[in-house]
Amino acid sequence: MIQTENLGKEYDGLKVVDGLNLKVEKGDIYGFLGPNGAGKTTTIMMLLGIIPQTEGKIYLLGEELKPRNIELKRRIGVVAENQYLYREMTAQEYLDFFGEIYEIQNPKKRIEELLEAVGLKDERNKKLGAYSKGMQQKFAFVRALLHDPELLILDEPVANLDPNGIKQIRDLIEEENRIGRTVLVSSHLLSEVEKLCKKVGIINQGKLLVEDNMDNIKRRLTDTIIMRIELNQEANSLESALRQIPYVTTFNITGNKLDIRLKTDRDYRKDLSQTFVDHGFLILSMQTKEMSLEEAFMTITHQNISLLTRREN
Amino acid sequence: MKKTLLGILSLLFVVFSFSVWASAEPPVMHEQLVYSLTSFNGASFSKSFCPANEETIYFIADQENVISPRKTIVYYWPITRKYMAGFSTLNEEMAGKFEVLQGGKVISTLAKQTYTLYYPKGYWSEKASVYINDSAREYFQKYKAAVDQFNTRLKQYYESMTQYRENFNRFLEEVKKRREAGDNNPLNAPVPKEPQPPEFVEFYATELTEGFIIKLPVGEFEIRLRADDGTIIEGSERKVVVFASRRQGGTGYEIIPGNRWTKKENCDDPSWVIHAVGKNELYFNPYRQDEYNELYHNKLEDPQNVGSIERWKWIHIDPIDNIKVLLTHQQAILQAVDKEPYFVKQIQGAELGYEIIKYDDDLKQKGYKPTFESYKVILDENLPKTDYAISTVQAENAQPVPQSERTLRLLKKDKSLYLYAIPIFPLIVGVFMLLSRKSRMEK
Amino acid sequence: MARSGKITRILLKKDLLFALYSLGYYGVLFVSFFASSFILKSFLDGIREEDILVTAFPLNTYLSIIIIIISLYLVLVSAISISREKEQGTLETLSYGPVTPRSFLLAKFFKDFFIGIISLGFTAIYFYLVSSLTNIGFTPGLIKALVMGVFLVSCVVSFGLFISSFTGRVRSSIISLIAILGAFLVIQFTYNSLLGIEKEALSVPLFYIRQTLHYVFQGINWISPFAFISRGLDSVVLENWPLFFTNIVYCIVYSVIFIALSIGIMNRKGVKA
Repeated sequence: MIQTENLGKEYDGLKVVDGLNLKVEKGDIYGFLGPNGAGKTTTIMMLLGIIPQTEGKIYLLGEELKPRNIELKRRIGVVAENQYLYREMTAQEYLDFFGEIYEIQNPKKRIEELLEAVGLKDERNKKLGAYSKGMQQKFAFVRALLHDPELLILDEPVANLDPNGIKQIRDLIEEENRIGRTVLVSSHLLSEVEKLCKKVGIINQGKLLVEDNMDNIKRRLTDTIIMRIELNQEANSLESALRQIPYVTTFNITGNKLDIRLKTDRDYRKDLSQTFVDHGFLILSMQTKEMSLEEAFMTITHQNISLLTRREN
Repeated sequence: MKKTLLGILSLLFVVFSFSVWASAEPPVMHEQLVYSLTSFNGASFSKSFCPANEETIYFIADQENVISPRKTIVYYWPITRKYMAGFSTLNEEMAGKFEVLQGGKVISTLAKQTYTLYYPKGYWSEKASVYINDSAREYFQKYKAAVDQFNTRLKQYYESMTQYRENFNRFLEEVKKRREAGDNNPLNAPVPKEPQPPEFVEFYATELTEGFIIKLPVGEFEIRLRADDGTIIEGSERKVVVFASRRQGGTGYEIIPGNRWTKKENCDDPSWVIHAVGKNELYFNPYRQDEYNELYHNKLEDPQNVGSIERWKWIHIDPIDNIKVLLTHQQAILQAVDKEPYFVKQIQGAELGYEIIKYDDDLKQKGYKPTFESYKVILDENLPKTDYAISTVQAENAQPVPQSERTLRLLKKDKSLYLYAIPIFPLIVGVFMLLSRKSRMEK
Repeated sequence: MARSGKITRILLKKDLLFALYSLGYYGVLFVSFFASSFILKSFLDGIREEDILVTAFPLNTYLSIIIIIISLYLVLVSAISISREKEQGTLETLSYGPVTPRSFLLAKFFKDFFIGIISLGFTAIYFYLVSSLTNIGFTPGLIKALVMGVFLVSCVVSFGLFISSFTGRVRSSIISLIAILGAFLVIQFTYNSLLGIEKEALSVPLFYIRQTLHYVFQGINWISPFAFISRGLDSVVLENWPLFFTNIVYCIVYSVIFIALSIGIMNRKGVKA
């Protein structure tokens, strides 16, 4: 459904997207993840033909995306990060207008179904300028699904929603996927993508770092533990020793307290205790501080990106 | 982008300021070869000159014009943006052969001829003819003889006047003497009659002058002056455009509003409409007229004039006589007016205005002459405010004069305050549109 | 092509309706008509009972006033029409679907063009009422000027859209418009001032500046839509049919060129502010 070949975009000599090879199969809900500024939105803008790529090719729904291939756009539904609506129009006027643009058969019924699904049926005669951000976000879904698209491209689709709204939208996406729609979800929220997507691609600094199924991603993010240790004296002198230990991935020293991330392939607590004793320290306490799945998935940070990519390297 | 724009605007401002300062500088004098022109303008002759910076001279086709190359002082006058000639300082006739060319080939070489401009109704009548060589001498002699004759009569008049004053004084003394002697009987002595001054010569002819008489058909030509040594005199080459009228035989009107004798209006084109608000006295003077290109004609009158090649203008040729002017409304004749003489009388007192009165015997006896002759149409204030027509017919057979009909429209002023109400209607439409949308949204 | 035309029609319908829902538009019509009425009333009051006015086009001066005010409104509206949608992001939303820069721009052009025509319709009604009230003739010359007005409006709108196509924000559109029109005026004044100086009295740099300004001035006559308005309305008064039709052709060519340029610029610059 979506395939990019060596896709690249350069602004003033700076590569914002670099050699991106994405592959989204028919029926997928594909999570396109990355921290803010990673190149997600630029990639999506290129997929939509809004900005031209400087290199590479894009194939959508089996056809190469060309500037004049307008008919292809009729088969795609889009929800952008920010909702740009005609504020003077009522919801009904707006949807009627887009219904005409996409030449929808029986638009009245379709509009009613979709407004019902997102809980905006009673707000249809309000001007869009009077809608809250959350309402606008939900309304954008209605517009994106109005013409029954084969492919849905969603850029940060739940960014402005409350938990109830998030659930409504999630249910809607799952329902649309169930009836055969392919979905590409771009987000910086791992937790959200986890609940929706089976396959995930992670981008950072314009490069696709990993493309895998959700289970493998989860495993990669949780293959370390954090030990919180309290010693009898200031621990700054331990810094060089800790760097030498292969099972220690990262650490943080604050006075006599240390947070040390250890590999989980075996129990290293005994080895670690011995190291402190060898350097003349006494251990006052030692606790395991495991990163919860929720915690690990909350956001894509540079820290967990490095976790994800370590094994690959 | 903003900086570039700001830079350009600043530069333009500097140039603008400099140009204002520079235009206030005293003019620079140049010695230059110019062409002095006496060009037929359709009705009479226009006098002008063509400085070196003007490349083209314009003439009406098949008419005699006089062209005379001269050396003079020329300076630029920024207020009118025209070059002025100082003929009183330097006015040197240029010697040489005058050649006329077409398509690069000399088609004629002209020699200087003697000419005079003859004004049959006097110098101020603006109607003139050019006469050449023998005819010129004949007309000039006629004028000179008439002036001599006038001078003789004038001399006689002054002598008669002296005699009259003496006689009149004697008469008064006689009256005084008798009254002092107590004689109250009628004086049976004749009152001396005051002599009448002689009429000045009605026509006028200019001094006999030499120039090249040029008469060309429609087309484009070149002119130049060749010196006796065979070389072309520098600065003597010009293009000549010769043109004809687009439409001929039209009827135009000069209209003198009763309250503005000094500001006459023209209604020349048949499409023009005369608008009035009522209670008017209008004096119409119909003219036979021809239509010329504005640019060409303006340049003919002065090569430094400007004009538009797309615009056309009517030139009054001759007054049309033996006619009646009609005011009609839907074929019904409301007024049929003959030409009559009028006198413009100064109003005494602080107002310092004037009024136009009919020239009558009383004025004639007082020695006044008519100020103008015209066809007076009176628009009564009770006339319905609608469209009327002004037209001209032949006096003897009432045949309409071609292209003489004009619309005369009486305007309504009484409801003009409602003009302020009309602009509100788009706002009403706007409010209606908003309300209709609101009601649709509510549905 | 047919589908693109359909999209243009849909966009046009939406834009036109919402333009007609804006009270500001009617406000501009009110202002232009009021200005005309004010001057006309002063003129009528100024005609004393004995005065006359001889003209074939008694209302054309007032029509010119209205056309200039409406044109200023249209050039401003069209100059911000694209940049506003870019700035608000609505153009981006349209571009997710089958809306191309061409169909979008043509819709904007026809919207403002039809607004212009509707304004001329209002103007015709206004003059009809003025004529009934004062007996000043609703002449063929006025109808001719109204017809010419349609094409002049197209010049004004295409020029405004051109400015809008290369600016990304409403503020920069307005600044660009004022700067360009201001520059036209300054060039005209400067050139006219330089004409007041004798050629021989000019220093060499000033002479070249005058020559350059002469060519720039000639160019402006073919770039500024207000020069087209002046020429177009002149051609009505000149009663020269070939010139009248030539001016119409000029207006059409001008509009086509500026719309094509605007489409090219939009294609190049994209839909983002």
